[in-house]
Amino acid sequence: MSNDQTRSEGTPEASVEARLGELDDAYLQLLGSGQDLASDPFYNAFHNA
Amino acid sequence: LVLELLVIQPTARCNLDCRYCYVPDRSDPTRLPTELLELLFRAVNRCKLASGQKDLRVLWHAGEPLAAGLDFYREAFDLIDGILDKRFNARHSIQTNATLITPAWCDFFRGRNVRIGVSLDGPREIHDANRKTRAGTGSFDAAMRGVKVLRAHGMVTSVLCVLTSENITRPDELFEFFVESGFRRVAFNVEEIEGPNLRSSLVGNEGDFAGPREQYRAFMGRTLQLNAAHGWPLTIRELASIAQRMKDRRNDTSFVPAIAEQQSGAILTMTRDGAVYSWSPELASGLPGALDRFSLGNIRDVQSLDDLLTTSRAREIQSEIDLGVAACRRRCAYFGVCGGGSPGNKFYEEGSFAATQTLKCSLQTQELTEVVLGAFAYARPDGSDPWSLGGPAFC
Repeated sequence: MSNDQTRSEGTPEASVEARLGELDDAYLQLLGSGQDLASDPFYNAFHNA
Repeated sequence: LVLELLVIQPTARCNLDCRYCYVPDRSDPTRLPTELLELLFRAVNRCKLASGQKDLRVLWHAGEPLAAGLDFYREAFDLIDGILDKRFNARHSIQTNATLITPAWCDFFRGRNVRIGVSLDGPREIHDANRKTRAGTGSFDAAMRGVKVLRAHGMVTSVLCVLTSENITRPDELFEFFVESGFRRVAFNVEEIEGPNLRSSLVGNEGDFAGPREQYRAFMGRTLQLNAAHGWPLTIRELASIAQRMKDRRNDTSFVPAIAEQQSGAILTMTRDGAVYSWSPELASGLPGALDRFSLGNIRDVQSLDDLLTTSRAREIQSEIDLGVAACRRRCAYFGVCGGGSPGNKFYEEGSFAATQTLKCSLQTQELTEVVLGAFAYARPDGSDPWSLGGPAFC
């Protein structure tokens, strides 16, 4: 399988970084930032299991 | 650098025969001899890599780990406790299909403070499409019976759900099932190409990622929307993880996530025959016809784990992984929230650790980042309820 078709699809880095800068921490906290994922078995459950 | 995770595959055997499983030889009943377990933990004790750490995370992964039997674990845990002798605080977890769980297992889990993750792909029809018994019947009822037993014993479990062509188009059904079934923490893996699973149902015959990208973005966007609209009942590993990386990157523009899978010795996996692997745990599945392709050696032959990490083979693999990460850094707009991806996925998809983009990172990093950024952008314009289910999808 080749990934070549998608390699150039990514949004330009400046755009990703700029949009990251517009986020606010309250929003990211709603999504779960700061949660202790490492204590959960699913943190380590890689791949098709 | 520390030993972040020790993965032990006590058997490859599994009572199920899930279509997408990455472990070969799942009908092989061979079990890890406790002598090899003893050698492993004595080697951990002598390992310079782990000399500065107190916590040691141990993940029992197979096959079906419970297929090794309760007596095996009783003996194994006693042995490990005796060898580590309080030098390490070992924290054990098990990822199971839940079908073999009994009250006796729960007593053991509680007594030993073992954390349990259960593999469930959604409601019965969806779950049974891929997670079948060896007789070809569905495993949903047996898995949910196991979940019920766990809960009756006061155990909280998280869920690991593999996204396949069966369920990636059905986010509403999955969300409703996981919430109504009382789960609070869910992880969504995408079906990956690895080990004996040579193709992913997410990727069509044409082989490009455009279709799965679109499907994954729609799935995660809708799941985020549902979770928000219902008051955030689920912690979703992928969203929590990418949100933390985004936050770290926002706070420090030079931040790059540290990926344990890329670092020699940070994750070590031992299989039932004593072979030891580093980097991505699924490398223990080897290649068809070459199961030990990525083995660093056997625990029988070394005094310390450090001996396995300084071989020429280990250095060659690490060099190739480093090349791949460097290429990701140069090429990919999402490197700051990714860190360079999984070496295992790179090799299984592209035949080289020096490769860059994979199915997994296309979906679980690139598209996921766009979902999170897109949802925020949508939420801002007029200040109205940004999470309304009546509104347009984020993606």
